[in-house]
Amino acid sequence: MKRVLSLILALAMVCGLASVALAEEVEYGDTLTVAVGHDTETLNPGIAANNARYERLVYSGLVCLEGDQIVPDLAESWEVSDDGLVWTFHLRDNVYFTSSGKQCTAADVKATYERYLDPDHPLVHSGKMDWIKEVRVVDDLTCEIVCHGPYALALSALSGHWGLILNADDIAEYGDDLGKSIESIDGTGPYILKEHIWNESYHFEANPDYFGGAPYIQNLDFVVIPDASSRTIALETGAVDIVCNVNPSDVSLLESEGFPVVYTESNGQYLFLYNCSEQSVCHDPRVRLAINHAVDTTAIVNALYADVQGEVPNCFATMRDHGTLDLGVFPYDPELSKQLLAEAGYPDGITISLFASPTYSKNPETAEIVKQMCAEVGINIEITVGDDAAFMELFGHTPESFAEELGYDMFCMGQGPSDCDIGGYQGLYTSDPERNDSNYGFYSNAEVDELFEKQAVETNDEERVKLLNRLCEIMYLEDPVGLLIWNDKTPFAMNTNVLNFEGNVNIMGEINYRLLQIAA
Amino acid sequence: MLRYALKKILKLIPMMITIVIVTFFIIRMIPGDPVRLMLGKEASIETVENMREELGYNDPILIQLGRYFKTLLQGDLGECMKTGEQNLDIIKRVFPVTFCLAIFSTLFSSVVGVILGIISAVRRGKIADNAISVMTLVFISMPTFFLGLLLLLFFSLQLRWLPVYSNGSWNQFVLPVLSLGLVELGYIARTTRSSLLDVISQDYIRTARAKGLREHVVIYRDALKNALIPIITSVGMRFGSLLAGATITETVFSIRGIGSVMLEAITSRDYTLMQSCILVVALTFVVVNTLTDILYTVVDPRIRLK
Repeated sequence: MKRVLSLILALAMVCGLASVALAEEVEYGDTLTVAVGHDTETLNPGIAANNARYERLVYSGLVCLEGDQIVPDLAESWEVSDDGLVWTFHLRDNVYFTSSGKQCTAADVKATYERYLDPDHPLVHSGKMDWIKEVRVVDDLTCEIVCHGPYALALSALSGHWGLILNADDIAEYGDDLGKSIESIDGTGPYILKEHIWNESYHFEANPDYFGGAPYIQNLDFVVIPDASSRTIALETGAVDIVCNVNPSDVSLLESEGFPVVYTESNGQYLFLYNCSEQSVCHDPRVRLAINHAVDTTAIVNALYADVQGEVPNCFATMRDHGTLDLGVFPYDPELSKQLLAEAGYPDGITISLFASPTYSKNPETAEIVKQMCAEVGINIEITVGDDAAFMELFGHTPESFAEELGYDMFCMGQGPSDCDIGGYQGLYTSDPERNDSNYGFYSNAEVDELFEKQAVETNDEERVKLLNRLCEIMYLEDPVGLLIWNDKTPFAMNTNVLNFEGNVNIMGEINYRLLQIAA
Repeated sequence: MLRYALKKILKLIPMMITIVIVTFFIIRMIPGDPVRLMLGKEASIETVENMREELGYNDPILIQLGRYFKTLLQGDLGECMKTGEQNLDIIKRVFPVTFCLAIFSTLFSSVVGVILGIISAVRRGKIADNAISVMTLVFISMPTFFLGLLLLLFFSLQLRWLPVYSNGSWNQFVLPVLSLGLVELGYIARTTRSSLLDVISQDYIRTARAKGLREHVVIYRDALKNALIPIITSVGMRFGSLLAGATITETVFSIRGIGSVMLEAITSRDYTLMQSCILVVALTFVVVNTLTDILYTVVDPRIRLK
């Protein structure tokens, strides 16, 4: 018996040792290289039009977005007063700026947000922070943000990249030049910018003292490769580990070669926005409805965007907090379209001018298909195709100047998921002159204006959802703002040795590089 | 020759002034607001207007032109609108890259092109001539971006010999040089062939052969020298255009040269950077043309510069 037990014990020991020997030890690399298509001119969160990729590496905000949830970042907790007017944030006590070594305090928060409040010197993103009346420093680690009125989207606004906190000393020293040189970038983020060669590369190194835990990857390099095919080849050769802005036509090739392609949640919605001003024939909602009914969006998405998991819209883009309201694909009904046109006073047809731009993927091709579909119901569409610069000419107009200088009845547009929910679209679709800085289509609907105002101050979630749903019904189905074409999911392609990617991309398509690892 | 060179330099001044004025106005006729492009569609009208005011774009056009000339005379090419960096610094950084690309491409295409052209001319009608003709036709017909991508796929992806993008090492130039050089080689080879064929049919070449000189002496010492003028013209023109920036090649290989900078400047409507690049390119063209003219006299002493 003793001998048998000894034998069993010996066998067990041998098996244990063998399993330890056989177990794979994963070695991790310390450098991750990411290919991007273009560079940015500044890392100044208030000024950069869309630059969260780099800014979130070096800066932190009071709160941030993980997946689709707003979570604490610099602020470890917060509360809002009963009247909804004062948000009090309690900062962490272990956060330090990487260059100066200075502790991040409430004074830095105040300096950062007050940049947006200067009416004589508005920044690009001042409109997103215009709900703030003032910022008060209670003590080093406590600040209060006082609102003009209760604002349901306060946290959502603060989670945007424009809400990232800067060093007050740098704001005073550099002003708008902050972010244009390495010396002016002093953040509290997981990475430190060490080198930037304009339009060539960025080199970041891990911040070992980052309050959220040091990143796994020590060196993070971004290389600018303007040509999409070259980016794909760079991935295939192993020169880069991740490709952002993957060429849609290369996605199936990469997948067939075994490169993981990860899609984010719906990141953008693409539409042809209507010019709803009195100067345009699209002022009449029946004309807009006629156009929408004449276009089979399912067919367009299947023809042009299926290879990149494009989705047919069933409402406006992602409503993070409340799910996506499903109002169904807009009905394709050419007969109804003709009927509506006749009711609007155009029984013999109508001519519409449309602007398309390759700024958006396959937009000119989409315009051609829309033109053909509309021709079948008597809507003659004249297409103008312009580049990025011509596209930017569409903005900053009054209805009169738009009609005089451009005169388009429809034009291509992209819109990201509303930061929290459809309430984030107020600036795009309200006719309130205090808030409609982004109402490029001159949309105007009294009920929509009222609903936007109500939802902004409604703190009861259930009631707010009802308001938002009604907003969607009007702007999508009854008095459409545009011809919604497709929802995209941003594809990222990567090498198989990139670990932890999925689950570390939020719904805005921002990657949390801190948590990525790379197998050597 | 010195007088000729001085004359050329003096002619340069009114030419450059004209180029500056024409460029200035043409650039501003292109649709697109550079400030709106820079700030994005989300920027408010006030923000855009403030920036336009700051950059002086709201001033009368002649005032803007005068201001530009004033800064130009001070050696100031202005600032890049996006980054705030001095345009002169940008050009000092990127022009040498394009220069290297142009020099190596031209050397490669000239040497190989002339050799192929000679072989083709000497073996006229034979297999070698036909093969070279077809090859050069293929190179000339192929779009540069297509050739560049093919080379990338073969040398970078298949063989893993060379980098995909500009990585600071010397071998980053191999594929771009090949990509540009092969196309140029096609033109130079064909020019060499036709020029040499013209000369070879001359009486003095027949005399040289009749005197019993060896064929390679006849070709290289007598014929080629006299066939060089059109070849030099072709090489000079091509070198000048390469110096203007092989934009497509620079984009495919992610090389930061003057071509890609100019493309960005046009895309973003950065007026001062566009003007600076065009000024440098125009100046370069003129200098190359002048040097080409001078080279004629070296090759053919019968030519006197006037």
